Amino acid sequence: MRNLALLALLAIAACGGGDTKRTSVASGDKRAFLPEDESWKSVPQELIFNNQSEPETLDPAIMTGVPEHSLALALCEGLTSHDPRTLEPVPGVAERWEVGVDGKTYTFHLRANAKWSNGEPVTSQDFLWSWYRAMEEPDCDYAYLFFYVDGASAWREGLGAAKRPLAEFVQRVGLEAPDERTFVVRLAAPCAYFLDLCAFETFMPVHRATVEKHQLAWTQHANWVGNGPYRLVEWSPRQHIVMAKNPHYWDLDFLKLTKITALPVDDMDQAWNKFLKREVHWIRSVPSAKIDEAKRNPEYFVQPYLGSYFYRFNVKTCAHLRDKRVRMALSMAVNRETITRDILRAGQIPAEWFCPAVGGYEPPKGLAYNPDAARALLAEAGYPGGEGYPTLTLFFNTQEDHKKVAEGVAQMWRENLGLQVTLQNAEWKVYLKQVELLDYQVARAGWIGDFGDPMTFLDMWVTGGGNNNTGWSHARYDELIAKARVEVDPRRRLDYFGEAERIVVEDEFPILPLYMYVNQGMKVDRLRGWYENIRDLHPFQYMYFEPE
Amino acid sequence: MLASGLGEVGRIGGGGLLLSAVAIGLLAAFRPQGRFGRFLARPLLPRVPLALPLSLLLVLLCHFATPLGVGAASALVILFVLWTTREVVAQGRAMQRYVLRRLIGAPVVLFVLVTITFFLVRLAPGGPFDKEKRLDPEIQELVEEKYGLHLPLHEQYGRYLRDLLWKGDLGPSFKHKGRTVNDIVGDHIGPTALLGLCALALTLLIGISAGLLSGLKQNSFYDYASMTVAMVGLALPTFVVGPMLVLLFAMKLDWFAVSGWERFPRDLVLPAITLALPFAARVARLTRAGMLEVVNQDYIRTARAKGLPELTIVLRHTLKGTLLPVVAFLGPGIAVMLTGSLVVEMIFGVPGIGREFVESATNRDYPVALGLTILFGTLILVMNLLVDVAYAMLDPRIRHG
Amino acid sequence: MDSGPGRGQSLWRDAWRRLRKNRFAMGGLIVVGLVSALSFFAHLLVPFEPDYGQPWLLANPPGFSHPAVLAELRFDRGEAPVLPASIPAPVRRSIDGDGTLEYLVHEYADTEYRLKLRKGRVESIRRTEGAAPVEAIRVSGSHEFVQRLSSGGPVGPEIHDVLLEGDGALPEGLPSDGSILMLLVRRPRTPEPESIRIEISQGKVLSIQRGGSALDRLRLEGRQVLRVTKNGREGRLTHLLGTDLVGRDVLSRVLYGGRISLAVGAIATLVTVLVGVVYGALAGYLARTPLRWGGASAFVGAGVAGLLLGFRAGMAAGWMLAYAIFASAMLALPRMSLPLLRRPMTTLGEFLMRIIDILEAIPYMFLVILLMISFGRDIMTLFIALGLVQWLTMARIVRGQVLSLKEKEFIEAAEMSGAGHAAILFRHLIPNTLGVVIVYATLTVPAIILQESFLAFIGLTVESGGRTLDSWGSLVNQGRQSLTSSGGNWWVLLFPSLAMAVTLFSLNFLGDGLRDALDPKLKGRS
Repeated sequence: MRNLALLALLAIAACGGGDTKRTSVASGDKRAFLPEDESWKSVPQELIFNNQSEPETLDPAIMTGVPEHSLALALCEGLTSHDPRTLEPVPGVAERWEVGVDGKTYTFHLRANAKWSNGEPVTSQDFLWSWYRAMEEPDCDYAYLFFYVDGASAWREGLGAAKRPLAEFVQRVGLEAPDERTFVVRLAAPCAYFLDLCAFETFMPVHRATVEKHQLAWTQHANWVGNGPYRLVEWSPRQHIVMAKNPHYWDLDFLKLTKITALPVDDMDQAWNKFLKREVHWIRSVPSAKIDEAKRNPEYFVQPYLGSYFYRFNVKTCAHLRDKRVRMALSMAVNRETITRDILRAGQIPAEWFCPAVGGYEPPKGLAYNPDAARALLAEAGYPGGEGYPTLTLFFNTQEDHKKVAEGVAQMWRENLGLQVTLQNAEWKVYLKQVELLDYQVARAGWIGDFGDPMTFLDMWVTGGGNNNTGWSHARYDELIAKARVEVDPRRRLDYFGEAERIVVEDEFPILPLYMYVNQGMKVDRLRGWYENIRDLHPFQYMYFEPE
Repeated sequence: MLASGLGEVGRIGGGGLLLSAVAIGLLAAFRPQGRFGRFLARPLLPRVPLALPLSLLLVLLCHFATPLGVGAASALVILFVLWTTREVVAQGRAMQRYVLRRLIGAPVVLFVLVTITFFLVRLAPGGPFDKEKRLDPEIQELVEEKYGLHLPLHEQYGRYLRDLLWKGDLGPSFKHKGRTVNDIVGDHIGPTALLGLCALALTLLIGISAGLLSGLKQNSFYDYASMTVAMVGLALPTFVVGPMLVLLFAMKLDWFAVSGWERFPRDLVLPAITLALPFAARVARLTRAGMLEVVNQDYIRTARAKGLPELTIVLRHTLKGTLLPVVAFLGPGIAVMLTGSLVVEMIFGVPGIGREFVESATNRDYPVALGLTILFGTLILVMNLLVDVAYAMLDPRIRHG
Repeated sequence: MDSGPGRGQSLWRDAWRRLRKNRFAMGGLIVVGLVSALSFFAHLLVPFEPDYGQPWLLANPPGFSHPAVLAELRFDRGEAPVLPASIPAPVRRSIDGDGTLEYLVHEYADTEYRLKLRKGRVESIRRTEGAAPVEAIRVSGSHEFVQRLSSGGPVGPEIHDVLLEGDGALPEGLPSDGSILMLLVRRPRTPEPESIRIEISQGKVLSIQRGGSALDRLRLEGRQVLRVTKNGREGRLTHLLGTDLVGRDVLSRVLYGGRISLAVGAIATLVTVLVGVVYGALAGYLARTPLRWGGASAFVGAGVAGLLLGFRAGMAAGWMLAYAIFASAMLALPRMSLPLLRRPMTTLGEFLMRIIDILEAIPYMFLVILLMISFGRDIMTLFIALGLVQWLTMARIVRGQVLSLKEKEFIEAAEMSGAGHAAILFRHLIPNTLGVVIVYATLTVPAIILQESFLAFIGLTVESGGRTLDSWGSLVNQGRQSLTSSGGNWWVLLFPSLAMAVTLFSLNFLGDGLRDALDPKLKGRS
């Protein structure tokens, strides 16, 4: 059963990787996504969906959350965009590109007919200025994604209160705009997923004149100018966001939806009720009490999501977690199937490994549930039957599901290992601070991947990594990750990742993997052009409504 | 949209109109023989405060956002202010001095309030820029510098006060980039105000009439029935009653939408009822109690013996005494209603200001928290003042506070 | 002339008599007493801890009963059976001790599948869990079967011997219209339930017999046990009010929840009373005592200085500086001869009331939320935070009482007989306000319980030692979230709401009755 799941995951994931050695590519073939006939024209093409929360901002350079990203897919477009089924990078503003043989130089050729929503053409200078602006903006949390570009890391380090001029940026960073329709990027080292990154929100262009005039208020609907398939018509905070076709979009004829309304309802019960009453066509969550009902509803969808749920161990300052046998015992004493099947019941995938299968990667199997072996290990470490082991504190941020999981895990540790466990929870900001300061013993954690490559998960555990927060350090692991960063051969790269992850989930256990996230929600059947994929990215230009 | 109606009233210079109303009222009081004095002394006007809730409801139902609605609402408010000013002044020196003292004290209270909140919000651990995907400490410092968080506390405090008093600028929001606190208040105050006003009108209407009837027909079936309903309204929390109403009226009967703030006045009904219920219940009980106290007095029996119709007795003789406890309740009651509105806003998806307030605490969005505290504090102060004045006018015993 | 204390006693007796006559109030008193007793003795009344739950049970209606088993049963020959520390007594009894243990189990493996249909044929098959695609479903043998799943559970015939695969036809008995079909595949280990017999002697497992063969170890999933008997006696657990979504007993949660709600109500009210009474009495007593400019500026100056120092060098230093400045100022002032400093600014009573005005202007819920975030979600913080919110009204009321009491003759008499300020305050004034205080305290408790439920609604539940203590408000919130669209799981919402409503009703009736009994003139003032 477990192997079947693994194979199945690989099957899905294998479609997610891309060939890194392309030298040139033709325009993305969208014919496969056209509706079968013209019947869709007879029904209104207005989508209302629940985006789950009010976006913090609509500025693609500084946005960080999933709801914001979903809107960015409609309102902005980068050099590349995503194939809705496979998530492969397909031509966006760039109609074709060439990659140098050393894998470090990308030359993008922009479309002649790519335009902003006010009719002005999108030029390579727009990209140059937008990327410069993002790297000069302290509020840009994802600036580190630019570090693949030659000189970007050093540039960002020199960030200060005063803004540096564009000319200096062009000199020091490997970006060039030799003419209006050519954009050249020089990377510091080959990056297997750079094209994927170009579709990411931080890399999307913004309209220079508008931003310079209105500063951060440029995202208000009165001021908005964007280059995506849809434009911002109205943003009434906490009420709705309304988008309509961008009349100057280069592929206007392909767009079928005429109006998109995004609602910020974060109460899952409320969203559920709205869906049942058909006040929305697509919701992105299901309240836990309604899961059984939802699963039997044909409009329910559940898809694996690029995210991992796990517990961190404080190996640095917590003395009784320093012995890796104890950590291994704690991991083997947890029956993940019980947690996902009985406690969460939303179809999450129990996992003894950490990194999801993405970009062609096969995660190692990890160590299966084995309470007897766990007990033996604990005894070996000097705590037979849990005797003498101090009370373990399990820390998580306040949320119903986290509490249920923690209670389940604590129960298993008590029953299987004879340990004493208490639970501690804190409000989100307090929790973040405590984890950062290593003020915990075992802490709940979740990690969503930023792009379709194992690097976004596995680079967390390098020594001193900003998101490590466990105090764990392993020379061989660091070595493997560093190698994977610059390795060009995809096969060898994935092998490095595999070996590195095996260190984490089969040997050292700085973390306790629990499960892989799934995405679930409801979508009306007649909404087509909407495909399940592991990153829950749904470009709106492919969607349309069929008649009943 | 719904919000724009109220927003426009504010923007049209409601302040200026109010000030002129106060001035006219003063003029009328000090020159009772002058043109204004005689106008305001007409017997029609004392009924205004009683008609206020009724007319508010009427105006709201007639689509508040139209010019007619806005005009009617502002006319009522102005009349109310005129009448109040004149009445207050006409009550004599003691009352004038009392009101003046309260008015002078108000800014002091606000100042202390701002100071306390300023330091209190910064007490909570965790800052506005702590995130799960950790930032470089240098970058975090830069961001904090951008928003002035690196300065010593008293400097931040000074800057904040200066911006507030000189420019009326409440600062940028830390969480919602690109929006200032003034923006947030402007966007969200409309729905909350509308909801609150509607709920207030409903509370007074339903509560007072139910209580009056109960008091008149003491110990009858109607009395027990309505008092039990009132009890239920008091004993169940809003976040239970609200979804129950949604389940019944929106899901099963399909009369209303589940949530949202799109169609007026349909989307107003369920939230307003949910918000008004506990307060209407309390007002009903208070009115009934007050009614019982008054109705058994001698002069009422005399009036009854004289053969006066029941309604006249109620309206003319008993109302003042009955309403005393209701008025006393209103002050703190309105403050509670503001917090209650948070729950209602969450359940019904009303884009109001209560939500922003609570989230600003969890997000450590200091300017929003401060700005909204000032807003609410001012509101509460004004309501308390109005209520105390009304109470003092209704009950001569308390005049000297 | 009656002396103060004597008058008080007969007042109480009068009041009690009046209260007894009020049927509603007495009813309220009895109900409150009953509820409190039930909550207090909850641990004797129900065998379950409020957070003990077997997740596989899910939500079940009132009266549900099931075999008394653990989630996982482990037996090894020659060892003691595995028995975790905190489990309900009936479960312990069903395993512990010497004798014969018999399990009737029907082990099976259940899997749920979602089939995408196209034109009456199978297009694709996926497991619901993990959304993993599957090539085919093969079911053979007389005891394995496939059954259709509807939103209410498995329906329709059990279909044996099928093969379902992509682009395959659907067997008879399964509907082929529609685009999605949910299936349950059950693979039982044995065709019929089997009996397992375990002999325990001297605390250790002697033998394990399963279907005729002896085993050395046994691992059972509790969910698949149909019956358990120990020495012939069947072990079953009954949930009188049903279970919630994670299998916890509703009755015990309601009773234990009562502890939390009532404790919060009572103790926070106590805080309110303590602070409010003292403050209000002082404000009333000092209503005429002048506050001179000198004293006021000393106070403000000390406060500001202490605050500034506090931010630099810590709160303790700040307090000490403030105290030092204030004390020295108060000592020095009478010796100074500046007439300006002597001018009365206002009265102390007025000053205290101004402070109340300021505090009233703070939106209190915001304050409570801030306090909870800053100081943790400990139950002690909650007591203090909620209590601090209500004391303002209490202080106002007590002040009003004291103001009117001050003029009475017995106070004059006490003053003339040389009683000091403290004595007058604490022996004469405050006891005579107790009537009012009790009334408002009784009416404050329900308000606090409702406020706590509001906090639970926004997620700030009470904690103690890392465990969440679910009050009625928290239970009601969970109940509302457990409700399905068709009104299922109603018991999870109904019983806590009922408990809360009935208790609040009774408290309100009691408070009303007390008010009528203690001072009929108070009617109408709130």
